[in-house]
Amino acid sequence: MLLFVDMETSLRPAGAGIRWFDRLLRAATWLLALLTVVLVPLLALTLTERGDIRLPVELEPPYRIEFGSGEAIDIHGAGIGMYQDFPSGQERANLRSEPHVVTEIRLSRTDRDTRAVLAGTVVTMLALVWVGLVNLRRMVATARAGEPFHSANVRRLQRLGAALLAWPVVARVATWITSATLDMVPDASPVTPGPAWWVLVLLGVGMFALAEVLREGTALRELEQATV
Amino acid sequence: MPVAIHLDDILAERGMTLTQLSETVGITMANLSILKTGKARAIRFSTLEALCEVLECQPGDLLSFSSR
Repeated sequence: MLLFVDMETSLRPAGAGIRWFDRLLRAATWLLALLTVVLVPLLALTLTERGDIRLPVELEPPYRIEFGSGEAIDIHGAGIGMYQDFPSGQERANLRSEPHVVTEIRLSRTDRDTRAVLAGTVVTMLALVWVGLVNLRRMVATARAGEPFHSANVRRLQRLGAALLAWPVVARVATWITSATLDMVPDASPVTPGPAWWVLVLLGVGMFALAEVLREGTALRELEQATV
Repeated sequence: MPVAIHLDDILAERGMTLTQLSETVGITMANLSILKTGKARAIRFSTLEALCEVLECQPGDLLSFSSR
């Protein structure tokens, strides 16, 4: 399954490292297949009113935070250097940045459009993981067969990079759409993907760079094969 | 290709087959075939030296250049 097999058998046995990665990726493929099978009925549930979905959200200003001491601060959502109003009249504190209140909500059972967006996002992200894993396994298979410098591997590495780049984009788009569809009182929006997501962007670009390195290696290999 | 290989001509003059050449020079039949059919993109000096020694010829006897 998922092996690239139209290569000549290598005269040199594959190294221990590449054999280990081959086994690891086979195990990962089985796990992902199991996860996919489990997720399908769960995704179906999310589209029905019976599915219980919890979503991390951030409360949208304006709102007031009341402390046990009786003091309160009003968050108006106007940016850094804001204000805090103390109805008790005590000295105004000066927070340098606006607090963010993040909590978890249970998605309304009748919020079908948000549920559909979430289900679509999970399916898309799962598909991206499959794309990455399949292409990675095929590259490892060519290396195990003794022909890692192959033009097909350049395209596979580019597909892997594209999958990594797409992941944070899909997350952002899903967050943006869900912000509009979420039926929520008080006003809240889904937590936006943080800076860590953009590490995936860096990795994705890195894969494209590696693909060019592999392209050069492939050209050199072809030259070497045609050198007597 | 602008650089031509005259291996066939020299082998015929020496009365040698490609198989005999391969066994004597120590170059595989596959590589000699690549060379003979003009599919080679580069030739190592060591290969050229080995061919010239066995065929008792100069590099210029084996190779020629013609611009198109």
